Amino acid sequence: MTILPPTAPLTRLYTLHALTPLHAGTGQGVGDIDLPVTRERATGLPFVPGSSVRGVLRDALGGREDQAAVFGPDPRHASEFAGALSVTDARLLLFPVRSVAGTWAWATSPALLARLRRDAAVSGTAPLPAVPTVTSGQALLTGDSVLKLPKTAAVLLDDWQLTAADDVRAADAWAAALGTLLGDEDAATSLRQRLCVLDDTQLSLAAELATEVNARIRLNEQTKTVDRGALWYEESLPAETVLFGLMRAETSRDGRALPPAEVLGRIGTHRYAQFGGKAGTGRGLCSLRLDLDGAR
Amino acid sequence: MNRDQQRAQSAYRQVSALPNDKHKKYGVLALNLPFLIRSSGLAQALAFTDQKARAYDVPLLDHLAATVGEATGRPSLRREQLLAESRTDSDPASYLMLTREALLAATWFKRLASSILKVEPGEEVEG
Repeated sequence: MTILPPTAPLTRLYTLHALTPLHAGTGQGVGDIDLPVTRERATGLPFVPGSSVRGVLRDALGGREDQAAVFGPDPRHASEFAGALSVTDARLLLFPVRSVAGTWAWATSPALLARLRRDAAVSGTAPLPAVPTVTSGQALLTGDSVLKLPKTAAVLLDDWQLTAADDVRAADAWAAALGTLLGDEDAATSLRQRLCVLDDTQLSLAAELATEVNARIRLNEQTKTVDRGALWYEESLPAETVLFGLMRAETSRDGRALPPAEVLGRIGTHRYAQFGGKAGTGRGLCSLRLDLDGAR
Repeated sequence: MNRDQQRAQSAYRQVSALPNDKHKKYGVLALNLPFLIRSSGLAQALAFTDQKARAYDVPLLDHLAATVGEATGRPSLRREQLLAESRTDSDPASYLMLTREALLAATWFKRLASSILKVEPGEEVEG
């Protein structure tokens, strides 16, 4: 095998937009929910493990040769060479919260936007707007927002009453930038109407307490009644949750030496796929976009 | 003792002192409370559970208030005050904080409903 000099690795931002509730679970919980979603230990924010994203992409990529080049050979030959693609965890960017006006808000916070900006800098994505400041009890809305109650500055999200800030410039700038990043005209329009920047504490608590929790049961096959004790609670990230992460490609080590751009090209700019568990109950249909150009 | 140990100890002390004839009704309400808080919001969940608990004559909300109080440095917190705060707290961040505290405490009552009171998920109170 000829070893060619490697091309510099390429890092690009990806977004994962949940079209149905997304259950990236821990398998078991000791809290009030039997099957909770995975959360970052240090922040308590939900995330989707990079290994989960990578596994789905591996499964979706046709052609055994390409699969080996991008993700490495199948497990029996795993020691021959490493894959060329690494995928970071998908972290929270936008969290949907029900709203009295406008049905639902796309909530985010300065800390989430700062993390996106940092990843965007690593990936060479065109600069994003400055991270805004929000005070407790305040909501930064866009100029076209549908979230304010008529003739007032009140914003009623879930159980909480917030006050809309007068200045709409920061939310407008972020709605435009995130709309471009999501690469979807409908989502861009929705962002112009529903983007809502909350303070970090408020967002953390919303992402902890306003996830979707469903009661599930198991029926006894003979009696068609609920089996004794067979009631459990399952947590999902609500449909419309948006997460982001990075994909980093190196030159492939499979002998073909695919350059990093071609490795990422195998993933493509957009695909629909099922992520996380509970696929049988319709969980986890997502739109995954890879910002291949790294430009806007 | 950390705060979760405080909650555990407080809940255990109260649940283990319950008379036998209260186990089932108390346990069924305790098992459902965390989910109710998440699905309906704190104010509604507490108001509903309070109504049921009084109808069944079980002290679940008195116990919950005591445990929330002990874990948050307010040992004098009582049921009426917890209910009032859940209804009138207008600052969204402190309402959410109270929700989190109530949920963490309610989770211990749920656990003890299974382990001590021997009530299983899906059980209902007859009559």
